[in-house]
Amino acid sequence: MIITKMSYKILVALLTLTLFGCGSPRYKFAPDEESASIKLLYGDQITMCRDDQLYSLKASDNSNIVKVPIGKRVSLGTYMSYSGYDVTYRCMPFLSFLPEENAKYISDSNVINNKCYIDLVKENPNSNTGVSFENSLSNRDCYVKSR
Amino acid sequence: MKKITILALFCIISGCSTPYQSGQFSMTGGHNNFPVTDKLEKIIFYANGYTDQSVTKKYALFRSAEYANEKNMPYFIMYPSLSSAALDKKTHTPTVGSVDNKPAAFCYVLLLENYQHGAIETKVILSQLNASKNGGADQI
Repeated sequence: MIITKMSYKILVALLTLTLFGCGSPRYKFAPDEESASIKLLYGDQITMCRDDQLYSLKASDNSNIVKVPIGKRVSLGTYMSYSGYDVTYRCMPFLSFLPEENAKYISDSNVINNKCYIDLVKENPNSNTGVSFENSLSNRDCYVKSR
Repeated sequence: MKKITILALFCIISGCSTPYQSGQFSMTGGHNNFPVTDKLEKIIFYANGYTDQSVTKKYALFRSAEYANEKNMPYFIMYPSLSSAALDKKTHTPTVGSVDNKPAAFCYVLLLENYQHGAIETKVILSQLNASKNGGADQI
Protein backbone atom coordinates (compact mmCIF):
# COMPACT_ATOMS: atom_id res chain seq x y z
CA MET A 1 0.00 0.00 0.00
CA ILE A 2 2.85 2.35 0.92
CA ILE A 3 4.61 1.51 -2.36
CA THR A 4 1.40 2.21 -4.29
CA LYS A 5 1.02 5.59 -2.59
CA MET A 6 4.68 6.41 -3.27
CA SER A 7 4.36 5.39 -6.92
CA TYR A 8 1.25 7.55 -7.28
CA LYS A 9 3.06 10.57 -5.81
CA ILE A 10 6.05 10.03 -8.11
CA LEU A 11 3.73 9.68 -11.11
CA VAL A 12 1.88 12.90 -10.21
CA ALA A 13 5.21 14.71 -9.73
CA LEU A 14 6.51 13.48 -13.09
CA LEU A 15 3.29 14.44 -14.86
CA THR A 16 3.38 17.88 -13.27
CA LEU A 17 7.01 18.40 -14.25
CA THR A 18 6.20 17.35 -17.82
CA LEU A 19 3.18 19.65 -17.95
CA PHE A 20 5.29 22.55 -16.70
CA GLY A 21 7.88 21.90 -19.39
CA CYS A 22 10.58 20.54 -17.09
CA GLY A 23 11.02 17.50 -19.30
CA SER A 24 11.65 19.65 -22.39
CA PRO A 25 14.71 18.93 -24.54
CA ARG A 26 17.77 21.12 -24.11
CA TYR A 27 18.03 23.83 -26.81
CA LYS A 28 20.94 23.03 -29.14
CA PHE A 29 22.79 26.03 -30.54
CA ALA A 30 24.09 25.87 -34.10
CA PRO A 31 27.92 26.21 -34.25
CA ASP A 32 27.76 29.86 -35.40
CA GLU A 33 24.50 30.83 -33.70
CA GLU A 34 24.72 34.10 -31.72
CA SER A 35 23.34 34.32 -28.21
CA ALA A 36 22.54 36.58 -25.27
CA SER A 37 22.92 35.63 -21.62
CA ILE A 38 20.47 35.64 -18.71
CA LYS A 39 21.51 35.61 -15.05
CA LEU A 40 18.86 33.70 -13.12
CA LEU A 41 18.29 34.73 -9.51
CA TYR A 42 16.15 31.64 -8.82
CA GLY A 43 18.18 28.67 -10.04
CA ASP A 44 20.14 27.38 -12.98
CA GLN A 45 17.40 26.35 -15.40
CA ILE A 46 14.57 28.00 -17.30
CA THR A 47 12.00 26.89 -19.87
CA MET A 48 12.01 28.62 -23.25
CA CYS A 49 9.26 28.56 -25.87
CA ARG A 50 10.45 29.39 -29.41
CA ASP A 51 8.75 28.51 -32.71
CA ASP A 52 5.91 26.77 -30.79
CA GLN A 53 8.39 24.37 -29.13
CA LEU A 54 9.40 24.11 -25.51
CA TYR A 55 13.09 23.86 -24.66
CA SER A 56 15.05 23.89 -21.45
CA LEU A 57 17.96 26.29 -21.04
CA LYS A 58 20.41 25.15 -18.41
CA ALA A 59 23.47 26.92 -17.02
CA SER A 60 26.75 25.30 -17.88
CA ASP A 61 29.29 24.67 -15.07
CA ASN A 62 28.16 25.84 -11.64
CA SER A 63 26.94 29.28 -12.67
CA ASN A 64 23.41 30.65 -12.78
CA ILE A 65 23.82 32.12 -16.27
CA VAL A 66 22.02 30.59 -19.25
CA LYS A 67 22.48 31.36 -22.94
CA VAL A 68 19.45 32.29 -25.03
CA PRO A 69 19.29 32.38 -28.86
CA ILE A 70 18.78 35.78 -30.50
CA GLY A 71 16.93 36.84 -33.66
CA LYS A 72 13.39 35.86 -32.61
CA ARG A 73 11.06 36.70 -29.75
CA VAL A 74 11.20 33.99 -27.08
CA SER A 75 8.91 33.22 -24.15
CA LEU A 76 10.55 32.29 -20.85
CA GLY A 77 8.90 30.47 -17.96
CA THR A 78 10.10 29.29 -14.59
CA TYR A 79 8.67 26.46 -12.56
CA MET A 80 7.90 27.55 -8.99
CA SER A 81 7.03 25.11 -6.22
CA TYR A 82 6.23 25.76 -2.55
CA SER A 83 5.59 23.07 0.01
CA GLY A 84 2.95 23.73 2.64
CA TYR A 85 2.06 21.65 5.67
CA ASP A 86 0.14 19.07 3.68
CA VAL A 87 0.11 20.45 0.17
CA THR A 88 2.48 21.62 -2.58
CA TYR A 89 1.71 24.72 -4.64
CA ARG A 90 3.05 24.96 -8.18
CA CYS A 91 2.94 27.66 -10.83
CA MET A 92 4.81 28.68 -13.94
CA PRO A 93 4.77 32.37 -14.86
CA PHE A 94 5.91 33.35 -18.38
CA LEU A 95 7.14 36.49 -20.14
CA SER A 96 8.43 37.13 -23.63
CA PHE A 97 11.17 39.37 -24.99
CA LEU A 98 13.43 39.83 -27.98
CA PRO A 99 17.02 38.96 -26.97
CA GLU A 100 19.75 41.13 -28.49
CA GLU A 101 23.14 39.86 -29.55
CA ASN A 102 25.66 39.68 -26.68
CA ALA A 103 23.29 41.50 -24.32
CA LYS A 104 23.21 40.48 -20.65
CA TYR A 105 19.87 40.11 -18.86
CA ILE A 106 18.82 39.37 -15.28
CA SER A 107 15.64 37.47 -14.42
CA ASP A 108 13.92 36.94 -11.07
CA SER A 109 10.67 35.36 -9.91
CA ASN A 110 8.53 36.19 -6.88
CA VAL A 111 5.15 35.57 -5.30
CA ILE A 112 3.16 38.78 -4.89
CA ASN A 113 -0.38 38.72 -3.47
CA ASN A 114 -0.62 34.95 -4.02
CA LYS A 115 0.35 35.23 -7.68
CA CYS A 116 3.57 34.08 -9.33
CA TYR A 117 5.58 36.65 -11.28
CA ILE A 118 8.66 36.52 -13.45
CA ASP A 119 10.62 39.66 -14.30
CA LEU A 120 13.50 40.46 -16.64
CA VAL A 121 15.78 43.49 -17.00
CA LYS A 122 18.87 44.28 -19.01
CA GLU A 123 22.23 44.71 -17.28
CA ASN A 124 23.52 48.25 -17.66
CA PRO A 125 26.61 49.16 -15.59
CA ASN A 126 26.14 52.83 -16.54
CA SER A 127 22.71 53.14 -14.93
CA ASN A 128 22.14 54.14 -11.29
CA THR A 129 20.98 50.66 -10.28
CA GLY A 130 23.03 48.62 -12.75
CA VAL A 131 19.92 47.58 -14.68
CA SER A 132 17.75 49.13 -17.37
CA PHE A 133 14.19 48.39 -18.47
CA GLU A 134 13.82 45.85 -21.27
CA ASN A 135 11.65 47.60 -23.86
CA SER A 136 10.69 44.42 -25.72
CA LEU A 137 9.24 42.85 -22.54
CA SER A 138 5.73 41.46 -23.06
CA ASN A 139 3.37 38.59 -22.20
CA ARG A 140 3.91 35.01 -23.32
CA ASP A 141 3.30 34.72 -27.05
CA CYS A 142 4.41 31.15 -27.79
CA TYR A 143 2.35 28.03 -27.18
CA VAL A 144 3.07 24.42 -27.97
CA LYS A 145 0.77 23.02 -30.65
CA SER A 146 -0.67 19.57 -30.05
CA ARG A 147 -2.49 17.46 -32.62
CA MET B 1 -4.70 14.13 17.27
CA LYS B 2 -3.20 14.33 20.75
CA LYS B 3 0.16 15.28 19.25
CA ILE B 4 -1.43 18.07 17.19
CA THR B 5 -3.21 19.44 20.25
CA ILE B 6 0.02 19.40 22.28
CA LEU B 7 1.90 21.10 19.41
CA ALA B 8 -0.82 23.74 19.04
CA LEU B 9 -0.79 24.40 22.80
CA PHE B 10 3.02 24.65 22.74
CA CYS B 11 2.81 27.16 19.90
CA ILE B 12 0.23 29.27 21.73
CA ILE B 13 2.31 29.27 24.93
CA SER B 14 5.74 29.80 23.38
CA GLY B 15 4.76 31.90 20.35
CA CYS B 16 5.72 30.21 17.09
CA SER B 17 5.95 33.32 14.93
CA THR B 18 9.26 33.82 13.12
CA PRO B 19 11.67 35.98 15.13
CA TYR B 20 14.06 38.43 13.44
CA GLN B 21 16.81 35.99 12.41
CA SER B 22 18.96 34.81 9.51
CA GLY B 23 18.33 31.76 7.37
CA GLN B 24 15.81 30.79 4.71
CA PHE B 25 16.02 27.14 5.56
CA SER B 26 15.61 27.49 9.31
CA MET B 27 12.48 25.71 10.54
CA THR B 28 10.90 29.04 11.43
CA GLY B 29 12.21 31.24 8.57
CA GLY B 30 14.58 34.20 8.51
CA HIS B 31 16.32 36.62 6.16
CA ASN B 32 18.61 36.18 3.16
CA ASN B 33 20.56 38.36 0.69
CA PHE B 34 21.15 37.77 -3.02
CA PRO B 35 23.45 39.99 -5.13
CA VAL B 36 21.68 41.20 -8.31
CA THR B 37 24.33 43.56 -9.71
CA ASP B 38 27.35 45.32 -8.19
CA LYS B 39 24.93 48.02 -7.06
CA LEU B 40 21.72 46.14 -6.29
CA GLU B 41 21.00 43.50 -3.63
CA LYS B 42 17.83 41.46 -3.14
CA ILE B 43 16.76 41.21 0.51
CA ILE B 44 14.12 38.67 1.47
CA PHE B 45 12.55 37.64 4.77
CA TYR B 46 10.73 34.31 4.96
CA ALA B 47 8.26 33.81 7.79
CA ASN B 48 6.03 31.00 8.97
CA GLY B 49 2.25 30.84 9.15
CA TYR B 50 2.17 32.38 12.63
CA THR B 51 3.79 35.62 11.45
CA ASP B 52 1.74 38.58 10.30
CA GLN B 53 2.43 40.02 6.83
CA SER B 54 3.05 43.51 8.27
CA VAL B 55 5.67 42.08 10.66
CA THR B 56 7.33 40.23 7.79
CA LYS B 57 7.56 43.49 5.80
CA LYS B 58 9.07 45.25 8.81
CA TYR B 59 11.71 42.52 9.21
CA ALA B 60 12.71 42.85 5.54
CA LEU B 61 13.06 46.61 6.13
CA PHE B 62 15.20 45.96 9.23
CA ARG B 63 17.43 43.59 7.28
CA SER B 64 17.83 46.18 4.50
CA ALA B 65 19.02 48.74 7.07
CA GLU B 66 21.38 46.21 8.66
CA TYR B 67 22.81 45.40 5.24
CA ALA B 68 23.35 49.14 4.55
CA ASN B 69 25.02 49.51 7.95
CA GLU B 70 27.32 46.53 7.28
CA LYS B 71 28.48 48.35 4.13
CA ASN B 72 28.80 51.68 6.04
CA MET B 73 26.16 53.34 3.89
CA PRO B 74 24.02 56.02 5.59
CA TYR B 75 21.11 55.79 3.10
CA PHE B 76 19.41 53.20 0.96
CA ILE B 77 16.65 53.02 -1.62
CA MET B 78 14.20 50.13 -1.92
CA TYR B 79 12.59 48.95 -5.17
CA PRO B 80 9.60 46.56 -5.28
CA SER B 81 10.77 44.70 -8.43
CA LEU B 82 13.64 44.49 -10.90
CA SER B 83 11.70 46.45 -13.52
CA SER B 84 10.93 49.11 -10.88
CA ALA B 85 14.66 49.36 -10.17
CA ALA B 86 15.28 49.79 -13.89
CA LEU B 87 12.67 52.57 -14.04
CA ASP B 88 13.78 54.12 -10.70
CA LYS B 89 10.32 53.65 -9.13
CA LYS B 90 11.08 53.57 -5.41
CA THR B 91 9.10 52.17 -2.50
CA HIS B 92 9.18 52.67 1.28
CA THR B 93 7.84 49.22 2.15
CA PRO B 94 9.03 45.80 0.99
CA THR B 95 6.68 43.73 -1.18
CA VAL B 96 5.00 40.78 0.52
CA GLY B 97 3.69 37.56 -0.94
CA SER B 98 2.15 34.58 0.78
CA VAL B 99 1.94 30.87 -0.01
CA ASP B 100 -0.03 28.55 2.27
CA ASN B 101 -0.39 31.48 4.69
CA LYS B 102 3.42 31.71 5.03
CA PRO B 103 4.47 35.27 4.10
CA ALA B 104 7.75 36.32 2.49
CA ALA B 105 8.70 39.97 2.08
CA PHE B 106 11.36 41.17 -0.34
CA CYS B 107 12.87 44.27 -1.91
CA TYR B 108 15.79 45.25 -4.11
CA VAL B 109 18.16 47.58 -2.25
CA LEU B 110 20.45 50.28 -3.63
CA LEU B 111 22.98 51.69 -1.13
CA LEU B 112 23.79 55.40 -1.10
CA GLU B 113 26.56 57.52 0.40
CA ASN B 114 24.53 60.72 0.02
CA TYR B 115 20.82 61.45 0.37
CA GLN B 116 18.65 61.24 -2.73
CA HIS B 117 14.92 61.87 -3.01
CA GLY B 118 13.05 58.82 -1.71
CA ALA B 119 16.03 57.43 0.19
CA ILE B 120 15.66 55.89 3.66
CA GLU B 121 18.09 56.82 6.43
CA THR B 122 19.87 53.71 7.70
CA LYS B 123 20.23 54.87 11.32
CA VAL B 124 16.52 55.72 11.62
CA ILE B 125 15.50 52.15 10.75
CA LEU B 126 18.27 50.70 12.95
CA SER B 127 16.99 52.72 15.91
CA GLN B 128 13.53 51.19 15.31
CA LEU B 129 15.13 47.75 15.25
CA ASN B 130 16.99 48.43 18.51
CA ALA B 131 13.83 49.76 20.13
CA SER B 132 12.06 46.54 19.13
CA LYS B 133 14.90 44.41 20.52
CA ASN B 134 14.78 46.34 23.80
CA GLY B 135 11.12 45.63 24.33
CA GLY B 136 9.49 48.61 22.67
CA ALA B 137 5.96 48.65 21.32
CA ASP B 138 7.05 46.55 18.33
CA GLN B 139 8.95 43.96 20.34
CA ILE B 140 10.62 41.23 18.25
